[in-house]
Amino acid sequence: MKTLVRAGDGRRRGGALVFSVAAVLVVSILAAGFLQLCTMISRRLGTSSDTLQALNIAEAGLCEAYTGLALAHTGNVGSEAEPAFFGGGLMWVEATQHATGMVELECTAMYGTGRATLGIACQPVEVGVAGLGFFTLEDLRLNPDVRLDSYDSNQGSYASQVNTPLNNNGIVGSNGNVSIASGNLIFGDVVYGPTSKASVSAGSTVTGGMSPRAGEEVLPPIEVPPITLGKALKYTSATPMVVPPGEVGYNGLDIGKNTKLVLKGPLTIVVGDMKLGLGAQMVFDTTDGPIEMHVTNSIDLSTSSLVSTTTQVTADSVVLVSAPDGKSVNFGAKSQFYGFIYAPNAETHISAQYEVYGALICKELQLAAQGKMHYDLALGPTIDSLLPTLYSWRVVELPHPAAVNRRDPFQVLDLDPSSLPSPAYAHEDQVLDLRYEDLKGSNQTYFGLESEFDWSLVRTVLYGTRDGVAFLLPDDYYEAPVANDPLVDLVNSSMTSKQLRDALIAASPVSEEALTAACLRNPPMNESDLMNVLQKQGTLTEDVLLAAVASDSLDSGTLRNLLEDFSPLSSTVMNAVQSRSPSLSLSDLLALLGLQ
Amino acid sequence: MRRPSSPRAGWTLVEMCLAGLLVTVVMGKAAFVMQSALGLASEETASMHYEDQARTVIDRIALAVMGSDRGTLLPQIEEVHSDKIRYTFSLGMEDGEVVWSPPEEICLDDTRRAIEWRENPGLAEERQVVWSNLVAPLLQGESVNGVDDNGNGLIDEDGLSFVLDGERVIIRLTLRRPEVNGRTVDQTVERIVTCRN
Repeated sequence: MKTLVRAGDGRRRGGALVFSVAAVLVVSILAAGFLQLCTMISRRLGTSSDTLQALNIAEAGLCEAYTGLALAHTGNVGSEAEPAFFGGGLMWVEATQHATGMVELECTAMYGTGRATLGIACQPVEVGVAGLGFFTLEDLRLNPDVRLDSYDSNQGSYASQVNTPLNNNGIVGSNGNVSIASGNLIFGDVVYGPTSKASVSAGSTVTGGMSPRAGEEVLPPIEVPPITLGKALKYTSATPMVVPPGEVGYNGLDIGKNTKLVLKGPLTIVVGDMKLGLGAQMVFDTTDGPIEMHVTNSIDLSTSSLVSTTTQVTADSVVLVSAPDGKSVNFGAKSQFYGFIYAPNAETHISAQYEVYGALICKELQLAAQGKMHYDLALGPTIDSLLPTLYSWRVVELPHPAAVNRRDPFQVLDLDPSSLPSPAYAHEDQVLDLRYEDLKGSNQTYFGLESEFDWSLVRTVLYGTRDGVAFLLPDDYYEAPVANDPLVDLVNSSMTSKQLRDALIAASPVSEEALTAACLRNPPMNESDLMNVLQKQGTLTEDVLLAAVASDSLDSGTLRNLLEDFSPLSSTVMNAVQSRSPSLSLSDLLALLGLQ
Repeated sequence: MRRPSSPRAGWTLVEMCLAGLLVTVVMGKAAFVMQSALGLASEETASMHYEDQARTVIDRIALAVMGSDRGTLLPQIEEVHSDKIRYTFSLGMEDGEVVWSPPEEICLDDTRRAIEWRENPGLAEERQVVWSNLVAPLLQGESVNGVDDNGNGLIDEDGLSFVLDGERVIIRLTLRRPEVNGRTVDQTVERIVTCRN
């Protein structure tokens, strides 16, 4: 009986089980469906965003390699075996050099399930030799009282930049010795030959550093354009000779006495022998375009001739002298020449009245005493000017088998992300030849594999090559603020009081900082020299007057005379006068008080 | 000997009816839920499929435009929409020189509501590939009335439109999906790209 009752209960419980199983089945099917849906959604979204991220990483890789080319890198960044880690993924760039000089870069990037390969074709830009500033292949001996400095034509005129930091970045260099004569003012660096030396005479000033270059500079030969040369021409007409834009060649061009030659750009002119006679003029009219003058044998600009440029764009007036080895060329004319002179085989004579604004590269230089040359920083290398020329960008089919595998790239390539370098440190290793200023301000050099060099030691790169190819300096190198006005450096140099007086009067009006430094100079300036400098200035600021009061150079009577000119004085200056040590004489003090 | 019959040995008719009704309701509800869920999943899947298709198509168009030479884009008129774009792109380098592709075109075929990619358009050796045949005749929210209905600054733009804006190209695409119940669902995607060449 008990058994029967149990059997009947069991059948009813089985019915409930059937319903339960059915319900669970329904719920399971629904759950599985939604799970599949969610998985599909997340996979699709993930693939899409991973592909986008891979594209972004590939573009970043291309950018790294592209800018690297401007810095004399090879363009190879990482490799499939050792890629660079970036943005949570990895990437490598392969560079292919073509015979035409073009470089093809292909960057493969992997991120999650995303893969992308992008390519560009570009043409690296060669570093222009104009960036060497004033440079000679042979020893450079400067005559006395020469001034070499700098300015940036992109920032305005030379005159507006005198005594500013931009005036203090000249580069005077040679593959040999450099001799700085008495009275020379070098506002910038002196870079002599790698096994040579620099000698600085007393009374001269070099505001920048002096150091050897890492290796000898090799000047590229001049390629004279294949222009048919007309017969030699001697021009003596009173009407100016105008050479129109285009291409023209002469075996010789002799501009006679008191005649005028006008070269109108854009023009390429080839001349065998170039001569300017007495009173002759030569005008580089670069208003409508640049002028490139090739002189293949000799150039002789007489001392009473005149050379001028219609614009101050230094890159637009270029004189390329491919005279035979050992030939001397003479720039004796009176000129403010805004341009670039390149004479890699010639001994070049520049007169004191031929003032160069731009750059000058030659084999030997004879710069007359009191000559002036102003290096245009705009001719030097900048990061923008040396970026390769981009010709094409494209999406490349994934070339690597590993890239086709859509699993986690670090698993596919069996790599530990933490062990991979960043793109900046994944460039192909090269021999680095570097001159730099370290963190303590000392000049240092390094020669060896770049992978073994610690860049954190470098405060400023002064010069460098990779695999023998010079790379540009940082864009802000020339624009880096200089702590001192160059005239302050001048005041603090070993110049004599008289030399300093002449230099400051020549540079007048000088800055407040320079005048203050002159007043407080140790050893002090001669009293009359200092007064000459102060009186040459139009007005004196309160700070300068305070410095004059504190100066050891001025005695009581001289100081009174100076202060009388600027009376009534401020209470600050008068307080300084009254507390001066040694104090003013009673009569001088009373005279001053009477004027207040 | 006859065993006494138990009052619980069988179900009454009422019990049977109630049980049957309950089972039917529960099963029906379960079936309804399942059908709804599967229908929803199917709809979502289809929606995703179309969205995916829209994104795939616009990605292909975007990559083609990104790799194109800005100077070769046709038409060159800026800030006016067009339903076609013609371009050339880099194929890489050969013998040290950059090789450029023959002209290609991406356009909307109004009659077939299709996006067509054409190589050498108009020439004997023309090749065509249809990238999608679900393009709406007009961009989402737009109707042919000479007014900017969807507020994007363009008037009566097509389901595929290109707008040149300096170095940028704005690409807009609407795919239209017909529903069983006669409704239509639009999927619109937009991409702004810069020509790299």
